[in-house]
Order: sequence, then C-alpha cells, then structure tokens
Amino acid sequence: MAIGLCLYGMALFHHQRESLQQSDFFTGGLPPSAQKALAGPFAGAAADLNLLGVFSIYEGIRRQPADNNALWHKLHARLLAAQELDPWFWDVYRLAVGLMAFRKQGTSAAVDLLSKGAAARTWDWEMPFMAGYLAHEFLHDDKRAAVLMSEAVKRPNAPPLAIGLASQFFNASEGPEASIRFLRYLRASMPAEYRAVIDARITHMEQAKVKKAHP
Amino acid sequence: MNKLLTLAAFSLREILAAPAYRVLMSSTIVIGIGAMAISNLFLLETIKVELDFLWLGISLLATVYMLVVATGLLAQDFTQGIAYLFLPHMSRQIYLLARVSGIVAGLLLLLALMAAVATAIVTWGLHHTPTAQTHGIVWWSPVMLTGMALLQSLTVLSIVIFTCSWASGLVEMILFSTVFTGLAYLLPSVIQAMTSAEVMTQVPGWTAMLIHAVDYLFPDMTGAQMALAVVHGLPVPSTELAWFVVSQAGYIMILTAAGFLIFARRDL
Repeated sequence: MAIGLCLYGMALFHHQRESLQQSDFFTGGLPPSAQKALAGPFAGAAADLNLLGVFSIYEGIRRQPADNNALWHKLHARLLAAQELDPWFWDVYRLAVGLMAFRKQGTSAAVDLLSKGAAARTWDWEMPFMAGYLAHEFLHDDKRAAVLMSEAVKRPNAPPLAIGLASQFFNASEGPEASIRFLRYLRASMPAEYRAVIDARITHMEQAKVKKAHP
Repeated sequence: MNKLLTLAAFSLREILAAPAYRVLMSSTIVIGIGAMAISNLFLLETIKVELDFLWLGISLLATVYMLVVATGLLAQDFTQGIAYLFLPHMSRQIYLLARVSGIVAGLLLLLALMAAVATAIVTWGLHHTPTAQTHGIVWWSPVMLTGMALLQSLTVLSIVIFTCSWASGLVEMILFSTVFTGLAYLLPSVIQAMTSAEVMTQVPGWTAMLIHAVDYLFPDMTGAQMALAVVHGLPVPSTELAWFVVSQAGYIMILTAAGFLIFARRDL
C-alpha cells in the first residue's frame, strides 16, 4: 500500500513531463473514499499527493487555455479528495480560493469546499469569512453569506476588521437595523476585550441612522 | 537470566552487523531529506507535510525492519538449525525471549536515530517558518509519531513471532507476515469505508450485521486520526489514544502468547 502511494506520487511528478494526451491516467485519481481506504494510517500523505496532483493538473490547464473543462473537473475532484483525507489541511482551501473561487464555474464549488473546511477547522475565522465573502460577492446568495459571516466573527481571534466588514455587509444587504442587531448579538457572545470595538461600531451606526432620519 | 541477557546481546550484535540493518540506518537520513524536499513544494503548511512524510517514513522503516531483519533472523534460526545450537543450554521460551529482546533493542536504536533526525529537521523547519503556518506543532511532534510507530511495529513483531512459530520456510514466513501486516494496516480503513452511512443504506440487513461484526473484531489499530491530529498540532483525542494503546497491546499479547505456545511444540 505504502509502496503504491510512493509509485502514485512518482507518477504525478513524472506526469509534468508528459503530454496532455496521457494525462487521464495520472490526473484521474481514485474516488476519495477508495483513497481513504487505501491510505490506511497515511491519510495526511495521501492528501499531500492529491495536492501535488492539483499542481500537475493546473500546469495542464495553463498549457491548454481553451477547452479545458475536463481538467477543471479533475482539479476539483483532487481538492475534494484531499479534503476528505485531511479536512484540516489549510493548503487545500488556499488552492480552492486561489485557483477556483474567482472562476465563474468554480465559485460555488469553492464556497462548498470552504464551508466544509470551516466546519472542520473550528479555530479558524478566515475560512467561513472567505466563504461568506464569495457567497455574497459572486454567488449573490446573501442568506448563506450572512450565516457564514456570523460564524466567522464568533470564532476565536477574529480581528476587528472582520467584525467591521461583516457589519458593513449586513448594513448593505439587509439595512442598518439588521447590522445593529447583528452587532448586539455578537457583543453578547464576545470576550470583554472585543466589546469596545463593537460598541464603537454600534454607536457609529446609530448616529448614522439618526442623521439619515433627521438630515 | 544471564543466558537470556547474553543471547539478547549476541542477537543485537548480529542485527547491527546485518547489511540490511545498516541500509535501514542510512535510510533515516534519506527519509528526512525526502520529507524536506517534498514539503518545499507546498504553500503554507509545509511543516505538516514534512511530518506527514516523516510519519510515512518512520512507519515504513520500522515495518521493513520487522519484515526483513527480524523475520530473516528468526527464519534462519528455525530453518537452518541455528536454534538447535542454543537449545541444549536453555529452554525454548528463554531462547525465543532472548532473540525477541535483541530484535526489540535493534528496533529501539533504529527508531531513536530516526526520531533524532526527524526532530532536528522539524526544529529547523519551525525556526524558518512563520508561526501562523505552524499552528500548535512542537519540536517533539516527531517523537510522538515515533512512539506511535514503535507501538505499531511491536504489533508487527508479534505478527512475525506468531507466523514464524508455525511457518516452515523463509519465503512462507516473510509472505504470511507481510500479508497479515498489510491486512492489519488496511482492514480498519476498508471497514470504516464500508460502515459509512451511504454503504449501510445500500446493503441488505444481514450484510450490514456482518460488516459491523467484523468492525468489532478488528478495531482501528492504524492511528490515522491521531497521526493527523499530531501533524496539525491539535490535541490528540484521549478516547482514541486509549483505544489505540489498548487494541495494540491486546494484539501484541494475544499473538505473542500464541507464538510462544506454538513454538514450544514445533519441530526444529
């Protein structure tokens, strides 16, 4: 099994020097559940090999800019397999954002990957925040974005910047009332050291609301 | 006791002089350099990738040691009449215990060297990687992985003792030990895949019961989730750790006891 994994890795490296016509064997990969069963105790290394496969496939896409949908599907399959094998692996999500998220057909898949990643990496605020941003900006799914952003700002170490951006998002998408409600809800569940920033933001929004009502 | 220690020390010297053992000792450096080289291809969690390949390397190293060096030593003893030279001076149990002690001492030396190489590499890596990308990984993470590999390789040793106690030749001993070890590594993850909700809804009731029965008989002894937690610098789940140690210890005790009992009765 382990020798098989090594051979598989070697095959992926070897692929970079091969033509695209031969790419099916090397870039196809096994289904995630089969890979998980074969990897045994080495799920982490198997996830790493899938990411090497992603680099290899992306190289193929770069060399074949037109008619490359099949390669994009394979790239997505490799990211899914890597996530299934090691859901805590940060590089999977960084590549999902970097390679897929800003491509029209890839945004939805990237948001799905990041949402699953957010459920696994419970200490990480960036993952749900990025998923929320993508859902709002590119998928125009504000309901999903609101859920993801609320999740992000409740995570430990979420910076004031994230809280401010999430509040602006609510302000723009659902109005100042929703934004203030969100901030008050957040304030109640936040440690004391974070409350000053949230209080300032609430005051600022209430003043803006009053100014708007009585110009 | 003196006879046991003398033969154990003799066994260790024999192992240290074996070319295969020296190759394994040198390969610790190759594994370390390989892990560093592969991790350089990645973007952020490079130390995690380094630890993944160190874990793969340590496990393979210890398993190959057991399947090649330990099985070779026992096979040579049992099939070429070497055991017969020692047996007039001690009981079969003392003889086998001494041989196994020598093998374990060789394993400890090999893993200590591997742990030292891996720790040096990870410490160097941690020093040159931003803290945000190392999240909770500590310099002794390779030592934890080596401890897990030690327990796993003792299980493989118990498989080797059990197989060598009844198999009749070197090829048979290596073949059956390798097959049983492969099953021990693969079966838990195959069963885990089979017990997933998607599979269980598709199979008839009696098959589902059979799969669950096999699941209880062969608990997960691979430590896959624990290894993932260690390489990510996350706390190792205590229930899984306890289950891992108990199941490995259970396998070791049952197989070693069976091996010693069968060896006491076999023709040499």
